[in-house]
Amino acid sequence: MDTTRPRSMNSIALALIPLAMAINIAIGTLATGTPIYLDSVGTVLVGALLGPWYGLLTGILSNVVWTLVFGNQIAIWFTPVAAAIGFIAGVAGRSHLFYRASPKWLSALVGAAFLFALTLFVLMFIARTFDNQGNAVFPTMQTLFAENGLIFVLALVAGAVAGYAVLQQAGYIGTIGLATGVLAALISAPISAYLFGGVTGAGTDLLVAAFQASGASIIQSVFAQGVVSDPFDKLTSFMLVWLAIQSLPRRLLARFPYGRSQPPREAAYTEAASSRP
Amino acid sequence: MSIIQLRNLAFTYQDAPQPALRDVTVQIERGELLALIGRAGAGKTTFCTLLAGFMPQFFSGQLQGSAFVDGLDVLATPIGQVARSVGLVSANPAAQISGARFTVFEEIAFGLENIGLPPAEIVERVTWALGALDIAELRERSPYALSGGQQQRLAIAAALALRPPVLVLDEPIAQLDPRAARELAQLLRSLAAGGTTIVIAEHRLKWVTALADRTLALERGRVIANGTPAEALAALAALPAPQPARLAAVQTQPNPFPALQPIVQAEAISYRYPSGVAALQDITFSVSAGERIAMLGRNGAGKSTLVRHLNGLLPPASGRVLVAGNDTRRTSVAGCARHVGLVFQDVRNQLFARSVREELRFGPRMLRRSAAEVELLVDSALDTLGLRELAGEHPYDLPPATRRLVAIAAVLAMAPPLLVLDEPTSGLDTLGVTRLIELCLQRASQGVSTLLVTHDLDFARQAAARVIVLDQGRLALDSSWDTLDANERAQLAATVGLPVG
Amino acid sequence: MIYLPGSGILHRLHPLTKLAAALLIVVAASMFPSPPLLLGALALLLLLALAAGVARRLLPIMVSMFLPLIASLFLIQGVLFPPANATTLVALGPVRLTIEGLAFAGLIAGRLLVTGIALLLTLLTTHPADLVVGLGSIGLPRSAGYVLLVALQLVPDMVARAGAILEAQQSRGLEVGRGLARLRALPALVGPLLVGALSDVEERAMAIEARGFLSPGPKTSLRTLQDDAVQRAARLLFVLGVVAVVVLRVWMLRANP
Repeated sequence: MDTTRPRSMNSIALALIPLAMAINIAIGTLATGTPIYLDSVGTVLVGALLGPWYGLLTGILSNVVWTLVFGNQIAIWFTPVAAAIGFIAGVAGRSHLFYRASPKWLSALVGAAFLFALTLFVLMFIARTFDNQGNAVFPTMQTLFAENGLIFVLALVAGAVAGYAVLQQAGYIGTIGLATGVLAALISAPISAYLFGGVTGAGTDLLVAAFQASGASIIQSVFAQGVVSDPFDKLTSFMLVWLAIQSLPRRLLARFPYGRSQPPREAAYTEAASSRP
Repeated sequence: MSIIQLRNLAFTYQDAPQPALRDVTVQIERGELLALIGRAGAGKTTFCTLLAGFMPQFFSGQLQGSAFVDGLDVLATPIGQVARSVGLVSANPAAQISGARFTVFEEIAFGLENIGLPPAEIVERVTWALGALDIAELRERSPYALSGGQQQRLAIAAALALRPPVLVLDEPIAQLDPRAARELAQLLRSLAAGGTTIVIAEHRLKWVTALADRTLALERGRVIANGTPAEALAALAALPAPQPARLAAVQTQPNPFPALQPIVQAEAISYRYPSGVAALQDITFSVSAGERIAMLGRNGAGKSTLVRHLNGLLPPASGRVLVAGNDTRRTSVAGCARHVGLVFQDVRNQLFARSVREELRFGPRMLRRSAAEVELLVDSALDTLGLRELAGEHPYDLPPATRRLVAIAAVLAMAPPLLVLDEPTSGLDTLGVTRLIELCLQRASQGVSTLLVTHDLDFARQAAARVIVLDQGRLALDSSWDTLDANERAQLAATVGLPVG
Repeated sequence: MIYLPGSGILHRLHPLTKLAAALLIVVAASMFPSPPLLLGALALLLLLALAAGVARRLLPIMVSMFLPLIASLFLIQGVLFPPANATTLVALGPVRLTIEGLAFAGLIAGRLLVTGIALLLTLLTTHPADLVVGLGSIGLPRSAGYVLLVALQLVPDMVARAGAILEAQQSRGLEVGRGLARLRALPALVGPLLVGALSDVEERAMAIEARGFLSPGPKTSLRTLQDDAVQRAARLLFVLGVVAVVVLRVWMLRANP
């Protein structure tokens, strides 16, 4: 008699989510002294194991606790950002990206492409001029490449090396992490600019100031700062969860709906394909 | 009719290569007190959780046979419903608190709120349970702030407050001191006399077999004895003994510290907590090559603070600590790790690799050993603690007792001249304790030293030659077991008690 | 957790009354950040803190929470990088103190202080468990309340565990540097935290099951909240106030965009 039944899901979620919320804060503390915040590792973990909706919920509740219990009034305004991170991690988890190893060359490619794009973005931002109506005039690609050719080559090489050496086999999840970072910057820029005048009291404020000095508005500067720092932060969070999941025992992973290395959907697909006449 | 009836019961966890329970047929009568004994991994915990209705709803896997408890088919009844008939207290009390309550009183009430009792009755029952476990003075304390022993009693009180006809306790005295264990035995006897059926899985064989009406011995998931304590103990004793541990040649590299220079010297060290309370006062001692030392003392005597001084995790407020002749204030912790290997009590804080072998490689790699050396060191550490066959397993797939041995092996693989183990026997079975004793003796014969911080006096007597006692941050005693005079024996008895052996 | 046990006037209020009042203040200060209004609210809140007996605790929290933020705000907006075309008040080499820059920084800082203190006063005088019971009475699911209460108590636990992991891994020879060097040590530090936490999940989930949290049927609660007709009326008023402020703001925006 085989009596394998669906696992009781709710108690596992009830036990995991508060742990993840506490992890967000604890790792944030461990990361002091590093140039990143790392305050969403727990949220990414829940997304990876329980899927997008639980990831979203964890992001929301984390920021609520931060504000309603620890009195951090900034956190609650950034709830949409935390929710988005959890949701994206959940979509990645549901697609089993946290188990999939990528070829290393792909990681190198991703690293190179990202650092190239980032360099382009920053140089565009710095090198743009204003016409007499105050509209921004962006330099053409040709002049940009011609004037900063060496920088772009360096960015490509550095990105490829970093991708190969740091991302290694986490190319898929690394890409999601970088993309999440850009999205996070996009969502948080207007919040930060409108409510807090672009500052958060952290070291990244100086970066905002530097962009503002080049003539940008507050919201543009905050966004530019976010694009520079958030992808690295989210990349690290996603990578840490990837590493942890790689080293988890199967017995423990099997507890969670998306904790299996064998995606059930693929299995079903093969079955359907083989039963085709 | 028997209140617990298991017939030809077998269970294999999903993905597990071996069944955890095989062909178990047991009947337990109302009001009976049953002891469950067996080696680590014999299936005791599976037996306990199955009675509480967790298979297969929570732990999925292959089931055979039938299991009825208090008239319920526990293989098919929702856990929440079984919970009203079976109170389960599992082995890790810290993980058993709800976590959502702020006081011990509210914590015990949590389960009663969940079954919808009226507040007046909740208060009455919680007050009774607090008294029964003698924790009334803790009622306003936070469940998170309790010691292991206090948490253990809280978990039992919370289960008792639900007044279940069947009580299942998995290692209930692992963290209790002898007095609390005696009191618990009395309480369980009176509960059984009142008609509660009690099942206790325990490693402390003397305690549990003296208490029980009947003893059941398990081995590899099979019942190998079911009757008197003598029968069960004989069945366990008859099991083939594992091969004796042996220290491989690579561990016996020439000792870098000739007997003249101590590995660690503490010179008049004092330390204050940030709160200003004095933790250590004027402590002087040294550890030479080939020593076996036990460090004893009550909770809060300063043992863990002192241990953290030995590899530079804490700098002394005054005095100095020399590791291999270098002041710890001028050496990094990682630098001291080459000479002093420290294994903490909570092994969760240490393990993170995906296999036992990979875990053991971490330390020697951090010390920049060559790849070939790393493998030699790892193999030798695996053999010493009898873990060779488990090298490919995931540490978290192993039973907690074996996991502790892995944590010790991971530091042993760094081949430190001084190995410091904090509470190494907690949760270990007899076999594991024997391995540790052999480890200490063998290390000493090869000129390397071991320091054991422990509450287990019998273990300390067998594994160590020298005994250090801390009392309120002061060095109360530093002597060899064999030369203790009457005064020193009295001192030892007053601070920590005396070993039985 | 910043709750301060006590029995002052704010402590005796129903959590939802305080929360509704704080909400009204936060919304009003965000929608109409005018200097006199902010200053008035600030004075009122500080008086309330004194009356409630929590002023001595409030001040250090405010300093640690707002001082870096406000200093950074004034430095960047007011002094270092003022808005374009700003009127110079004092010039000192390349550094200009401008009226517009200071006014902007002042306005944001005032709003931060008012909303922050309103929130802190609520939290200082409300036990988190009471807050959750209160929110439960207006529809917060029981499981969400459970998650909130566990998470907030686990934070110190997790921070302590992070410290213990740091000690354990350093004892195994892990060099923990600063800045980028520390990033390299992260997997050995974060790994045990995540794996250890996940191994706790199973046992905690078993406890939730074994103690009947998910069992069907009616539940009871030991914790009860004091409430009265005056407070219920006040809460209604505050909520209506929030709606009124939002409507007014929208109407003003449409009248003169």
